[in-house]
Amino acid sequence: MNAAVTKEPAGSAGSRQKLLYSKSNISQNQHVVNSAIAKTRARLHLDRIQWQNFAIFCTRFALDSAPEDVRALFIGKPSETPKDALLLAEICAVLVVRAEDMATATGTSYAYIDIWQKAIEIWEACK
Amino acid sequence: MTLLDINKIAEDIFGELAKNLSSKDDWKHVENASAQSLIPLWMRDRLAKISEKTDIAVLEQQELTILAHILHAWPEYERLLPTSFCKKLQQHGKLEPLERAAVIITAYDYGVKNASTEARIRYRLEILAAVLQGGQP
Repeated sequence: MNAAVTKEPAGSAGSRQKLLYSKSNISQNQHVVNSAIAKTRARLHLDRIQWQNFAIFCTRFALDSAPEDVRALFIGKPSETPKDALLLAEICAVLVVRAEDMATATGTSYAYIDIWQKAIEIWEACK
Repeated sequence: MTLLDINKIAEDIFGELAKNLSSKDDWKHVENASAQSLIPLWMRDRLAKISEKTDIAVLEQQELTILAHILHAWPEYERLLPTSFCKKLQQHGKLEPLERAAVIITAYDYGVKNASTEARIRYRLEILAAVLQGGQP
């Protein structure tokens, strides 16, 4: 993986295509997010349950840096995480996995608060 | 140490979706949502801290069972708590988020060991009544 290169998605040049990905198009956003989650899960060779457990673990590990409202979503048993919060956990895990890879490859670091901020933005766009 | 740019990573993974999101606006939205929450800030903060140390779901269930038993055995103490809350406790009704938070915080933070049973019960219910009103006892 080349951490320095930002890959442009296909068709990003057209304004119509940009509109397609805007926040108002929830189903399109959900499709983009679900396929990113599926790719990461496949790359890690995890089945669905294993992946979800991993995502919840990642999220709880970084919970100190999360906004209070988000922390409240993850109160209680990990197995009782609400479905809505699970999607946030999965988005968060996707970002953590990629950031961890890039940090290892480049000898840099990353901040959980940045991960949370971006994950919440993407999560909100899927609701 | 240099920090990675998570925006770029997100754009790499989620493409235009991540690119088109306005981070400032959305973060503000989350903060607003937080401000409108039904549970006071100090309670949410306390719940988050408690959840790091114990299983809140189990603690809540245990405390609700104890409270229901107390009200059954000592009905005279019902007057210390709001009527609607007592009713929900005895009939296993659905509690409001504030009520659930108050039950958990009271159970975790305000246990008394060296006192008579009645003194402990009274103290517990008085603290719970104060927390139920959203104030720090």
